[in-house]
Formats: sequence, structure tokens, C-alpha cells
Amino acid sequence: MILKARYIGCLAKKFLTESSKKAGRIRIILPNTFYAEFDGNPIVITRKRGRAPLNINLNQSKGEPFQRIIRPDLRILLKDNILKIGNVMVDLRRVETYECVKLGLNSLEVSDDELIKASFILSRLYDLVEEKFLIIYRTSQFNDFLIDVVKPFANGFEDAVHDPGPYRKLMGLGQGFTPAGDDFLSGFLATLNASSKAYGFKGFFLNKDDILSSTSWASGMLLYYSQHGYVGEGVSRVIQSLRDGVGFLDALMDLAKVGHTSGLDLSLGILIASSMILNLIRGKDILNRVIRQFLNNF
Amino acid sequence: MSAIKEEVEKANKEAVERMMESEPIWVDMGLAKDKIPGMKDYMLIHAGPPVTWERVAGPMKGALIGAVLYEGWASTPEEAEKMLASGEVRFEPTHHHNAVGPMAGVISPSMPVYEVHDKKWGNKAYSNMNEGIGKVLRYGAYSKEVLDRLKWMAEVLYPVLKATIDEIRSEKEGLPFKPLIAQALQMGDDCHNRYYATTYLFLKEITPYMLRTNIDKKDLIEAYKFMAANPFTTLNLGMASAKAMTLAAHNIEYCTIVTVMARNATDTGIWVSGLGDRWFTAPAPIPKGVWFPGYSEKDASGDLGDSSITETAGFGGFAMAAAPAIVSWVGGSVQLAIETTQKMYEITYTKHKYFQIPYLNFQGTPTGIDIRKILKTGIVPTINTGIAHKEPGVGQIGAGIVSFPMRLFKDAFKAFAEKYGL
Repeated sequence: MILKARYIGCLAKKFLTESSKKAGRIRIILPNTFYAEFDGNPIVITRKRGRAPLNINLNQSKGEPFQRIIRPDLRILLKDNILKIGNVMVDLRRVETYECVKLGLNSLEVSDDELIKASFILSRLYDLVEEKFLIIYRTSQFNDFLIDVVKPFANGFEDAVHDPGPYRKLMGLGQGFTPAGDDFLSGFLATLNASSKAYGFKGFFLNKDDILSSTSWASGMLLYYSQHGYVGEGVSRVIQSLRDGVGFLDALMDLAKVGHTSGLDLSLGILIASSMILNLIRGKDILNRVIRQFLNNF
Repeated sequence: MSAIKEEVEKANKEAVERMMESEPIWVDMGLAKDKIPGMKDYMLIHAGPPVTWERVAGPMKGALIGAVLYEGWASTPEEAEKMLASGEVRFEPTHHHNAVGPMAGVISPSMPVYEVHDKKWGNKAYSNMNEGIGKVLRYGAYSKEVLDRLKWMAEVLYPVLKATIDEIRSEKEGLPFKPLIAQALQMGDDCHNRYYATTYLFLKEITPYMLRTNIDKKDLIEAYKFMAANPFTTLNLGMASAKAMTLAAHNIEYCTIVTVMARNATDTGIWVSGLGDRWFTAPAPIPKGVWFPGYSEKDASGDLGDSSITETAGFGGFAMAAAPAIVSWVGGSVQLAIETTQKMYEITYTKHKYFQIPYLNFQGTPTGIDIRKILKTGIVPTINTGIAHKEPGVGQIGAGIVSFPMRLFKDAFKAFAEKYGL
């Protein structure tokens, strides 16, 4: 079976090119996506449309579940721009590169009203999440994170974001392939670190070992690269729209629909981080107004 | 639970309950100028959101011109066009007048209309009579044969139907339409693009009363044959019934349920219950479909019509799984029809109490489109539709399936946040 690839993310391309043995193995298989590991680095092969630095997006949007055609631990070989996995081949020969986008936010023009509306919209969408899923903002760990990290930073104590402790409480929190806590932190850290240079504060990066000891390999790797600005195009659009203040709510609504709660949790992370930073810059009460929309839901 | 979450839940529950419990009954016929609220001389009403003459698309333009000619306000299409462009003849959305019309949906003051009364909640809704398929006014055609047919409908069909409903009313309150829809859904209709069973049920109901009228036998036979030969005879009554149902759900504070979805070939637009009569619009998409011989997608206009009021009320394209034979008309496969219905459950508030789908173990149809669910799932409402030629004067060139643009629901949700969140 030959699967034609349409896009390859910048990191996936780099990992394949730099792989010493040109060989890897299958780690995780989902119906429309599977994760491979090359020299410890993740590559995500998916039928889904969203492009991302770690992704190889296939042409076909539908097909037999991958669990039926490949199995975990299978060896992958890269030869002549074709990934060979048992009887399955992923053809990379005419693939287009999804270039990495620099996430630098040299300004944050998004208005306070837009942030309040965003928090209202996210709250209303969280209202629809079934009870069996963990709602991150209702957890004590999230509340602790607000108290220990977010509020002190917003009030001028910038070092509050540098203590790994509160992050550890959130990593791995929740069920599903990417736990809610990991998704929230991905959005939060991507936004925080994208703004740090322009606003003169020091960013924060979680240590890879620390991440992998707290959550699953796949989710952890996504978090690890997100904090460095390697995010999918959905997250990238939301963060970029914070800069010029145009299309923020539209981009947020596009992201919010991803997965059971992943899109919501990523969006919440971006919203909380941007409100926290704007609170610091503009000196208004924006953070509390944003949080209040969620706290009303407790 | 937060105050707003509770308010939204309460409002949505009330809206769909009111919509499902609505009891639309066909009670009368009359001329639009006498029946439709706000209808005036030198005024036309049309499907979809408001549109200016400069932006009016081909089939809508053709239907407006045809209606001006039908009224005798102009004697040539050019003259009619001038009157429309100058504002001498006004045109407004049907929905501003509690009316609905399929495709261009153009209704002029002297056109006969059905009056549907919601016995439960007291609302009234209106629609015109159906002309059949092909070269007809609602698809933008306005040739002599089109105008002659409209005149025949006013002079022969209308008196028959008026006398019939008067006869029915002498015995009972009118003809309840909800039971007809419920029954027809179990007989292979979706009650948007397939109305065979509904039309037969309708004729079965009205024939004894038709025969009791004092109308000339020749006219009775002509009228009967016309209605029996046109599988869309009951579309307009179905739409007026759906309008009555959705009116019952409209204007409820905090409610996120869609109460109007309509298109005018230029734009597509929606209303959301908690946001009143404010239109949210986006460019009308072109349907994917089955084309009449000699035509293709390049000939098609943007989607048009108020008929998506049926999906808004919980049937039509949302009940496609009830109507497998519809795929021969709109394209696709039986599996697609089933999948369409199943997908629509993900964006609706509930399953209809009275409209059921035998193939899905008599589940209720997906009812109450919730803009929150559309945004959470990324699934947009899908309907089936007729396709008009993009040029005025041609008419119908196919039928197909179309999805509403996500933009509408995003804009509506932003307005909802503005109203209730700030």
C-alpha cells in the first residue's frame, strides 16, 4: 500500500534528514494518525489536514484505520524519499515543506474586549464538554497554577513563571492522547515564550526529561516543541492574531474545535498567557476579568 | 453550573420544546396583500437575507422582474428592471413578514398565499403556491409560459384551494400539517426536496372537501391533475409550517438555537433566537449536485431559497436518512444520506419527539441547530436544494446538496458574546 504525502513539517524533515541510521520505529497508532520515533525524535504521520512542524500530512483524508494496517514497534526505513513500514510505503517524493513560522510577538494589539469575548466563547464551548472529560479550569491544579504563576506574573513578579513546580502539577493531568494539562501548558508556554523578547522578560522552557517523567512520550514531545514555538498552524494563527488584533476570535474558534477538549485547552492556555502579559503591560484588570468568566463556571 | 450556562440551557430547552410542540394548521388562502403583514402595493418579498439591486444575482433578478411583469407594473423586462433599480418597486426578505418562499421565493401583492396558523402558540406564517419544476418563476424564469402558468394558478388553482379550505373549515379547524410531515417522513420523504408522499397524503385529505365545493368540475379536474403531477405541491405548505414552528422558538433571550437559515443566491443568512432579527450573512455557496442534461456547475448560481427553514425545524436534509430515494434527485449515495442525518445529530440540541426515521430505529430527527455545537464540532448544517441557472430567465438546472458557511455561525457567536458576555 502506497500512501502519498502532501506536506512535511520543518522538524519532521529535519529529523529524517539528520537521522543517522535512516531508520526508526512505530510508537503509537491511532485510527488516522501514527507516531514514529527517529533517533528519539517524534514524527507524526496523519490523514488529518492541520499542518505542523512534526507532521507528515497524507493526501488521503479517509482510509482503513491504521491499527489494521501497521502494528507498534514495526521498523521504519527511509530510502529514496520513501518511508517503508512493513507493506506500507509513505511516498515523500513530491511533498511540500510546511516551513516553521517564527512565533515572535513584537506587540500585542488584541483588545481587552476581544479577550473577554474569547473567554466567554471558550466558557460556552466548555459547557458542551461531557462530564466524563476533565475540565481543566475546574481542577485544583489549575487554580494553584493561577495563584502561583499567573497572578504573581501579572502583578509584576515575573520570576513566578520560572518555577517548574506548578507546571509539574499540570503535566499529564487528564485523560486522552494529549492530557488537558499538557495542552493547556503548550498554549501557555508557546505564547509566553513568543512574547518574552519584545516585552523584556525571561521566558521559561520545561526540561525534556522533566516533561517525559510527567506525561506520555507523544504528548510530552508535542509540549516540548510547542514551548519552543514549534506549533501547528491552528495554534500559530491564534498567537499571530494576538499581535495585530485582527481575526483573533475567528482563529480561536477554529482551534477550539480540535479533539474532545484539546483545542479548548490549547486556546485557554493562549488566552491565560496573553491576558497575564497584557495585565503586566497595560496595568488594567484584564486577567481577573478573563478568569472571572471561567470561575463563574465552578 | 454558572448563571449563563443555566440560562442558555433553559433557553435552548424552551426553544426546541416550543418548536416541537408547535401545531401548524393550514387555515386559509388569500392574496398576499390581504394576508401577509406589512405587504404593500409596489412591494415584493423574496427569499434569504436583504440584498440591494446592485448585488442581486441572476435567478433572483429574473424572479423579481417576472413578478413585476406578473403584477402588470411594467410591460417589458427592461422597464421592470428600471423600476426595481430605482426603488419604485421595493423588495424585502420574506422572513421580515413571517413568510417563506422556495428558491427565489418572490411573492407579489396579488399572488395567492397559504396561511398557516400555529394553534399552540398563535403565530401565523405564509407561503405561495408551488409552480412545479424546471422553467418557473422561483428559479428565475419569466417567459410567457411562466407568467401564464402563474395567472392560471391565480385564476383556477387558487379558487379551488380557497373553496376547499373553506369547506374544510366548515367542519374542523383546518388541515393540521405536522401529522402529514410526520407520516411522510415514514413513507420516504425528507420534506424538503422529496414531497411525493406528503403530496399524496395531502390530496387524500383534501379531495373529499374539493368535491364538496361548488367549483366547476373542469376546473376541479385541472387543479387536481396539476397538483397530482407536481411532487412539490406541498413544499410551500411544509415550509410555512416549518416557519410557524421556528417562529415559536424565536426571540428567546440567551438562546443559541438557529431560527432562520435562508439564501438569496448572493448571500446566505441566519437568525439566532437569542439575537432577534439580526442577520448574519456570508456569500452563498454553489451546491454540488445532479445536473439536468446540458448543464454543469459552471452554469449554477449561488444557492437560494427559504426552504432551509425545513432543516431549521428539524426535517428536510436533516431527515435524509428517512428518504433514501432522494439521492436519485440530489446526488450522492444512500450511505451519504444516512451519514448526513447522523452528522446533524452532533450539532442539534435534541431528537424530535414527533418526526421519526424508521431506518434509524425510529429515532427522532436532529432538531434545534445549536451554534455552540457547530463551533465545537466544526460541522456545519447540510441541506439538500434545487439549483438555478446563474442567468435570469433560464430556470432550474439541477438539484444537489449544500453546506452553510462556517462564517455565519462564527459571526453569530461573536455577536452572542458581545450581547451576553461583556
